[in-house]
Amino acid sequence: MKRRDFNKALAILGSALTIPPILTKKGLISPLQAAGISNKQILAARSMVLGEVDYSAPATLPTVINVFMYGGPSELGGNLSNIQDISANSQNPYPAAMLRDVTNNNGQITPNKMWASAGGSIMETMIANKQMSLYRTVNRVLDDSKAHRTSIFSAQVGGLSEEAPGMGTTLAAILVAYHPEFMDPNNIPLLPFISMEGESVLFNSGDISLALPYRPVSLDSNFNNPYKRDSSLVAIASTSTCGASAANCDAIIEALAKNTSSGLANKYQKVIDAFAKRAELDDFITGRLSGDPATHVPTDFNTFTGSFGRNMRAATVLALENPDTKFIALSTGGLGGWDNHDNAIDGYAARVQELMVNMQAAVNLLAKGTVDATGTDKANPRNDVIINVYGEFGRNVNLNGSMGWDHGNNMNLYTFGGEGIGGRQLGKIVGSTKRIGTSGQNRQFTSPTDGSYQFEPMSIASSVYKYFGVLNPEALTTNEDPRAPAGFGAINEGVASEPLV
Amino acid sequence: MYKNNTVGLLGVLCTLLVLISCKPGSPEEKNTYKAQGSAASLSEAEYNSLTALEQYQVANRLLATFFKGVPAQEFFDVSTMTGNEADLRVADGSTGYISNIKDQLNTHLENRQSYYTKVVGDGDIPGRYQFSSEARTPMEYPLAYMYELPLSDEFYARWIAYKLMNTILFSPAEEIDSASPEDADKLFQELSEGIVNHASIRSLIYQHEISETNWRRFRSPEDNTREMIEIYLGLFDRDEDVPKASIACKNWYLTDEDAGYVLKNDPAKNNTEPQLILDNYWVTTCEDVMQAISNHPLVIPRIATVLVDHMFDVGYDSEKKAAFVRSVVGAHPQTFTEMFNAILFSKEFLMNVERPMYFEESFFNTAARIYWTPNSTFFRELAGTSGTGGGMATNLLVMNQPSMSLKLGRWPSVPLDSLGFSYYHRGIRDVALLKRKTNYDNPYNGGYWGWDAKFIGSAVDYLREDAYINYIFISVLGRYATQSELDEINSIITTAKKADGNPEFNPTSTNGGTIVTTRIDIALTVMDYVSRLPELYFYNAVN
Repeated sequence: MKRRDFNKALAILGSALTIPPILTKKGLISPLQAAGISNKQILAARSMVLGEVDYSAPATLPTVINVFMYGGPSELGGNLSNIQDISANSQNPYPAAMLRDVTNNNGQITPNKMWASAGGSIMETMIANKQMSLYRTVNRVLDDSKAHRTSIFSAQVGGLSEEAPGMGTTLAAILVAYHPEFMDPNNIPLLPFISMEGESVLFNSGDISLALPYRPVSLDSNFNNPYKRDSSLVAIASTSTCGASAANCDAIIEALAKNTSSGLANKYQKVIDAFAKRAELDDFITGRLSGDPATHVPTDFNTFTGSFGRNMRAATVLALENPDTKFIALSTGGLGGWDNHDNAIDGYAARVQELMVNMQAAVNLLAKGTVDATGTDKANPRNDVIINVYGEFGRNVNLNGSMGWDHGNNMNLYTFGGEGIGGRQLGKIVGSTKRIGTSGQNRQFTSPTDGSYQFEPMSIASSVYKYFGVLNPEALTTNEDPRAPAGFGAINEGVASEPLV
Repeated sequence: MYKNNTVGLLGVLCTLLVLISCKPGSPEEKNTYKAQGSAASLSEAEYNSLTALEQYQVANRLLATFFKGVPAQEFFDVSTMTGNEADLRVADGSTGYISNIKDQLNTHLENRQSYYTKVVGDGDIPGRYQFSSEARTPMEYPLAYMYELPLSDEFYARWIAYKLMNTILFSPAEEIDSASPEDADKLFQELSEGIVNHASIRSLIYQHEISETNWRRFRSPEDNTREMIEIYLGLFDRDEDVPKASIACKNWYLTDEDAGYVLKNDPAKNNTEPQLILDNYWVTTCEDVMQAISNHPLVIPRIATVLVDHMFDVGYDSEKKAAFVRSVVGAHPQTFTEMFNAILFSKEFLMNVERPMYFEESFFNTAARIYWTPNSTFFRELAGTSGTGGGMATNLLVMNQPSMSLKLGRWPSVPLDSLGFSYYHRGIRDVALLKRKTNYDNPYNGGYWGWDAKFIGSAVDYLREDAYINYIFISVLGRYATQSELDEINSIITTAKKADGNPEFNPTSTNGGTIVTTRIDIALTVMDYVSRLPELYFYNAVN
């Protein structure tokens, strides 16, 4: 089946769940009838989908926090295994401390060849504690684009077509089509897909049309609530009643606006969605997420730092407070962050260090759980939250004339938590690299050594689908692109680790 | 720079496009540019053939694009605003409205200093607005100036510069460490001055390519040459050209933060070996590279494509968009003014394009239509760096529409995620539609800003009941209320009761003061309703 047809089938299944439960509960109308979809259509759609995806509901539905490092992060924070060779051939040499072991006069190379002050020491600890794994060979082969846009799209849609739906959208469609928790119109999960970076390619709709409950909503790092309208500005008091039935006036105005806009979804869908989600988000924030995210964190665990730390804390609290949320899109900031073309070393090291401080804080908080307003433990730790951290591509390892790294290819995947998910393997460093390129020239970067395990960035999406029960996720990453007829398989977490020190 | 005899795919393209390429430099001031085909302008006859209401929609679409607007009571003959569309007539001064706007944009601004003084003050004369005391002011000034400036050549140049700096073409990338608001200021001035003086597109691109501002955005030879090829030629698959182009630029570098991110040239690293790039161009110096790009035949089609994307939305029908771009390019635009004239005054843009409006477009248009004026800190908050939480929500950043900030510019589609749009909605609703001016004397009183009583004042005093409701609909939305809207709103007005059982409205009272209060309340109620309609946030097709 073509991906387009497949997506349409998913959309049919998804649209069956748009119906307000109250109608179905009262038996006034069936969900399918209300959606204008016949039983025959729904069965045909399910058949088409079943023929395409091999699905087995996992024992536990995880939550995935997708942290994207816009700009293209260097791999060196997690991989100094080639640094001697790199420095010897670089147009500009690396600082001497980066060429020495940590045991030697404040050197920077950790036992497992990471950059100590660029998060390396923290990663050593987290790997030893089996809180994370490090994959060093995320390598583009089929489309080695070094353009930001092209690479962001392929990494976030999990395929080579820019027209394809984003990873979060595909995941939503799969769950709506297959998973019992998502298929029950009387028990729709609360805000299952959340962006903390505004509009994101991860939620591009492509040709998938999801029902409103499964479309993403966005929150910020402080759980600010602009969703509630200020009732003090209007002429009619919020408690006033209108009409023969003496209904709340504001509700009547809202209903009139909704009615006027009905039938215009094709034209105004995102705004209609945003309006429709307002009350739910208001309730969610004032109720379940009330207060600053920091107030949900036990004092000793509030080690998050910086603006990314606020985002990471909010995402972690969200995952703990609302297990219904299954996918959270998060970024480490704007495009400038990892795009280290000049004077890279100090800024990069500090940034990776801050990233890892916050990842450690997140993992520790997930293991501890949140507290209520009185500071009492809620006893809600989770071992089924996976945090993937990666970018669109890696960078050259040559220090250029501006002492920076230009666009490259090979990069790291830092993956954390989720030890309770079947098949999850933590505490590993996977993949070995070598320097390639001409000495003294700019185009020098690392590449997987012969025989080393490697995978394309699109495999990260496949792995996410796999965690949620898709047994053949490559079927979801072909996108009908002739360059990738077989799609991209999930990461093989069973691959042996590099020997750890 | 030497041409190579090798003709690759790009060479074929160059050959095909050579007829539409233009020489850099300043073209003659006389504007003979005129696009045909799908980019044909909306003619005066076509405009005049529209109904009065449609003319108002078209006029406000164009003005919204310029962050301006025209109130209904000025556009129409108010005596014809009876509630019956068939009666509606434009005022005498509103005929030929579109061509008048075009003329104004081509008119030299004589007393520009007075407007600057009004915005920022001059010596002992205080400006009307308070800006950040820090270095953020370059981000805050442009919108304040554009708000105060009348339509004129000065305004148009600044508006074009602002638009360009919010695209990938000229974003100063204020968000990244090596760039600063001063870069935004410098670029805004350079572009504005160049545009008002009819500098060519190619010359402005070249000047920008070799500027420190550009190198603070793309900070190494490889980064910069790659991005220039991608941004100005739309070629995203020329990775093999990048190392060669960067060899020609290898003597250019940006100092580090401690040294102030200064663009330097190291003569010791000057390249002497010609490099072949883009199939046809031999380059030895960085200036060669940048000239090869700025003079390349693909520049004009690429610029047109980017600007059409921004003005039409990236989701606009791709075939129609391609035809439109071909039409624009086929008329040989040499300046940004010509390019924007083709896009903005086209029938396609004025009548047919449907897309979400950027906040500046919808807010300032709505504001002008209801005689709204800002408070003194408005522009500081608008371009501020931090969110405003759940309170006043006119901060572009929290709407995910930051100005002149993003490294690759604003995405050519207005962000409408639930969080960003909630701020957008509150900005329009809370700060414009529901913020009424109540104090006319004390600038330190919170009531000194908002919409003016003139909006519902004596000029439209005779409009009552449905005609009054329709007046507000037309003013804000550009359409009449439907019958069901009239029925429901009238029901609310006549039946609304406070918790104590007393009526919210008393429309039957003949007491002058009470009527005024009631008319305000009705206006607020209607505008609260209108703020909840998605159409308010969109350019909607006319007719």
